[in-house]
Amino acid sequence: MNDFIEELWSQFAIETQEHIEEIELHLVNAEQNGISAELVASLFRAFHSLKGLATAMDMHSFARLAHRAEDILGVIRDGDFPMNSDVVSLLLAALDEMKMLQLSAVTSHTNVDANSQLLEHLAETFTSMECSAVPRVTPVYAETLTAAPPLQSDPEMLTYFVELAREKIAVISRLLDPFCTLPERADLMQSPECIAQATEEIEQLSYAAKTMDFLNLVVILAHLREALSGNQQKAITECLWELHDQIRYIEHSSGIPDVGANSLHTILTDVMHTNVQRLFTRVLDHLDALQFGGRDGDDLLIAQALQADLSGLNSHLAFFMYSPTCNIILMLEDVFSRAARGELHLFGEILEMTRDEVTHVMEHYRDCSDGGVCARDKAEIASNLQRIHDYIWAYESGCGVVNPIETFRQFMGELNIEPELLKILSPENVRDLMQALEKGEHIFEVTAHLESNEEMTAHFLAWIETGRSRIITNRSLFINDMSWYEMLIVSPLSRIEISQGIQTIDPGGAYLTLKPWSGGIPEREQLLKAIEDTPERQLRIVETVASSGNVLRVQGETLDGFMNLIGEMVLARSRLSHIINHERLSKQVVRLKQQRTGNDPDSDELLELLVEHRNDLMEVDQLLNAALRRLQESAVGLRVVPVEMVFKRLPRIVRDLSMSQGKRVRLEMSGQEVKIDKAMVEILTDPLLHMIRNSIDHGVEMPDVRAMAGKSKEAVIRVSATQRGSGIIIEISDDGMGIDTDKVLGKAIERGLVQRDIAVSLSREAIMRFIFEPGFSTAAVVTETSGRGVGMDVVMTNVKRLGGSISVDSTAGRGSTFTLEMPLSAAIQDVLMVEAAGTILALPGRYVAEVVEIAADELQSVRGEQAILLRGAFLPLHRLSTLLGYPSAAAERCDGIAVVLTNGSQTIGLAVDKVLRRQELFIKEIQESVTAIPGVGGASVLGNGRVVLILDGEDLLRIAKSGAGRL
Amino acid sequence: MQKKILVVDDSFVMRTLIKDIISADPDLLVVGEAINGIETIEKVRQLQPDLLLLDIEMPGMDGIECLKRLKLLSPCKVVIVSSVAQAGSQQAMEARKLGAFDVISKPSGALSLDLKSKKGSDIVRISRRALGLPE
Repeated sequence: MNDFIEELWSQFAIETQEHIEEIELHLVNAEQNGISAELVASLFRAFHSLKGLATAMDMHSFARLAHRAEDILGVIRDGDFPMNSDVVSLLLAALDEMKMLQLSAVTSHTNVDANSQLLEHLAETFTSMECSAVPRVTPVYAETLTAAPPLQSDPEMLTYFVELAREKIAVISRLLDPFCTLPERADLMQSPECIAQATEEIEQLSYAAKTMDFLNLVVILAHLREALSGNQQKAITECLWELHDQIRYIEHSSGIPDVGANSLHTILTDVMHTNVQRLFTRVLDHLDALQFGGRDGDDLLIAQALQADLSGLNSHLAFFMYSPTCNIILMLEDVFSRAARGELHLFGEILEMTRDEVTHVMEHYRDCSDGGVCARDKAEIASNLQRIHDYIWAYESGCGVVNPIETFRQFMGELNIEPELLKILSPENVRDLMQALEKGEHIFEVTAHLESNEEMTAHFLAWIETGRSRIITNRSLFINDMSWYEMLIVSPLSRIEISQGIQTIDPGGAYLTLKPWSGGIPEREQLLKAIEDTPERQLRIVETVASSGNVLRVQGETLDGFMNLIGEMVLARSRLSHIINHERLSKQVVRLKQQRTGNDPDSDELLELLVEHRNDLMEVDQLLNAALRRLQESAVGLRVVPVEMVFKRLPRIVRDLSMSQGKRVRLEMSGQEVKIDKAMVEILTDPLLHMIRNSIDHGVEMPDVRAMAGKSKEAVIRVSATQRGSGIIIEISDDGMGIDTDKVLGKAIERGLVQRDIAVSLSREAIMRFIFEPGFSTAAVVTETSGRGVGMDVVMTNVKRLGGSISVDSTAGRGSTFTLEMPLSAAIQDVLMVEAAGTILALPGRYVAEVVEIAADELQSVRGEQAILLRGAFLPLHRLSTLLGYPSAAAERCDGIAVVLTNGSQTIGLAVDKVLRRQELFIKEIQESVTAIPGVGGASVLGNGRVVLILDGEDLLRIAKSGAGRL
Repeated sequence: MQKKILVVDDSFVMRTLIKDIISADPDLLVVGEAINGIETIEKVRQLQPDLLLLDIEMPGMDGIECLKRLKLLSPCKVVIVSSVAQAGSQQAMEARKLGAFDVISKPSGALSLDLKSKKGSDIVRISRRALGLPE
């Protein structure tokens, strides 16, 4: 017999055994507790499976028994007969017989005849049960298939579809969420993997929808797939909205309320709100870049990006129904699309106006989304629209920028239109003409004498109006002492119709003449082509930068929690390490080795095993330590953000300040990519803003002053960030008037900061430092923001507190440079949290060498000091609570846990009640009175709001040296 | 190109026997097995078989539900292999309505089948027919 059949038989044995056991359990249980319909069904299924298995293996008697039992259970299952103890007994008897047959089948693979009496009994029972059963009309199913009703009407099918749809919609909306959400940067693309995955999900849903005959859904999904393959963000969003509508419809029609329309709706609205916010920010950023960026060559590109964002803003706002507001955005979009084509030079006023309007709309939007009313005055909106409109045209007609209007004029000239008439065409006229031509209307030149025949004049004007014609422009001229009008008319009418009309009004032709064209009727396509061909249309293509991988957003708290967990692990590791390297253990090992006589092989082996395991453990401990350190380092790496986060606020400040003071300043920034700890963002922002303000207020001169000094009217402020070692250096330099040391000195003397006689001997640097003195200001004018003498001293204080430094260098008349040096993660301190005298305290991590457990019998007294022997050296022990001057009842207890504190030259053990965890704390600003407490360096607030004191390592060591808190 | 077949039955013995019979036909290839409805759906997604040999009586999701769900996922052909769903029964009709190609009974006496009778068995014949292969 081959292996295959052998394997089958053994599987047969297992499966049949399982079924038999299941049946037995249920039957016995049924006799005692009754039986549920569900159990009857599973009994039925079990006998059925047995039958199938037996048939397959040619065990016909076995199969026949199973079949009879199955029949009986079928009747019970259908509810025609109750399960009673007689039936249970009979079925159990059948089962016993089957057990026997199974055994012989498995052992000898042969079919043994079943007990014929039992078979007969089963058959009889079945017949009698069937007879006593309520006769039912058994439906007869025709073999021919009638046309199947649509699957939509099958409630089960609908449920399954809904389940599938729910799953797919959830995945699709999750996948497409980033597609709908504008990236922070306009040039970021979505990953192809994401597109592929979404496409697959869409196809699967589409297949199901097709099966269900939800044809609209199929169409929408096809659109969505298309939009996705083209990465067309707008189309994707639109399709998702349509999808939402369809799902809503399906929810209505199926009566199943939660297929996903709501979540889709929430996602889409959220996305749109986010987008609107981002678009506003981006638009303002672009404006900043245009106004202060100073990179001239990029202006067209920025305008282009600005236009795209305005367009996006427009379509988003339209969704939230801010229609009058939208018009303004639409208008601005037009402005920047012209600018992007180089047709419109962007100058300050337009940018200012744009900023004002966008800010307005932004506030308006905010009010509306806060549930407020759209309260903006329509008249105000209209007048703003008009303002923008006027600006564009005033500018266009006033400047000599080559644009399609010129091209158009030339084109018209070729049509034999009176050149004088062309000259007076305003840009608006040209636009109207172009629009008319685009609509397929025609241009005519009519000369009319309208003064001597009132009736004809009225007739003519009425005819113009009824013919939906318009007079674009006209000029008056004298021919034979008569006043004539030369008119340029656009009309949907053809030349023949116009000609006939004129003849009807003025049959004699004495008053009206239609000027013949030399070049025929201007063709729309020709015109459009002429415009198309102008070089200004050829736009530069925006560079795209591929997405730098997937960005995962993590909440700050999550990260902090993560760091704390790592801290706990580090601590656990250090305890492990301590246990492994325990003094007593190593001493014992050494002692045992020395005492080894060689007579006791058992203890020798034990010793070797001990040493071996200890070495192994040490090795593992090292590995663990290295891995933990890497983990900690990479976790710290997660906290960094580019310094851009701080810098991005600067353009706005520079712009506002310089504007309000009538100064012209260009801001140049570099090193935005330098990474800083996220907590530094807040810390750096204020000092930086102060210094920028300072530069503009005191450094930068008025434009005319600059011009007189031979400088360009526009001042430059440069802000740069560089990383040096574990610190970051930020330089703020301006090319303004610089710091006048004489003036500073004069002021310092005046304020009594320095004696007049000492002052003369002060170095330049020393003099410069005065500007960081509280209340010091040399500015003649006290501005809104600076010059009151608060500022630089605050900057200095903040920077110093965080372990940074600030310096200034200046050349009178040439400008000043402030250099800010900050440690990379100034405000973050790695600490070990301990508990002493019921208080939670933080020990600075870099002083903590390790944590040791002290057994009472390890304590020794060395020169009157309590100490333990740690790796061959005495470690003096101090109780932390006593060291800090806390009254401690537990002072007498000597055993427990001690933290080994070291600064390299001095090492002490600090006995504490509990060691909690290692974590990173953000040092909060605290009052000086707190730091005045001996041993305390700062404070922080824990996640639960509890204030914890951060101890000063050096201070603690110093106090310990003086002998306090000794055990 | 061999046609891909997925065999669904909660019994290992049954699956093994069905696979054994199918393997007699070089045009057919069993690409996977599933023991319940949920697994079936998963495997159909993964393997995209051309034909499913589906048992009706299964614990958990039964064959009919499985069939309905499958309809939304894949155009794969289905032949019901069940001794419950005999031709003309309600389940058979339901299955047929849901697009099952045919309903056949489970193999019997499979161990004693020789190659020729395997090839001539219902499973192979109906599978070929469902897949549009010449009989």
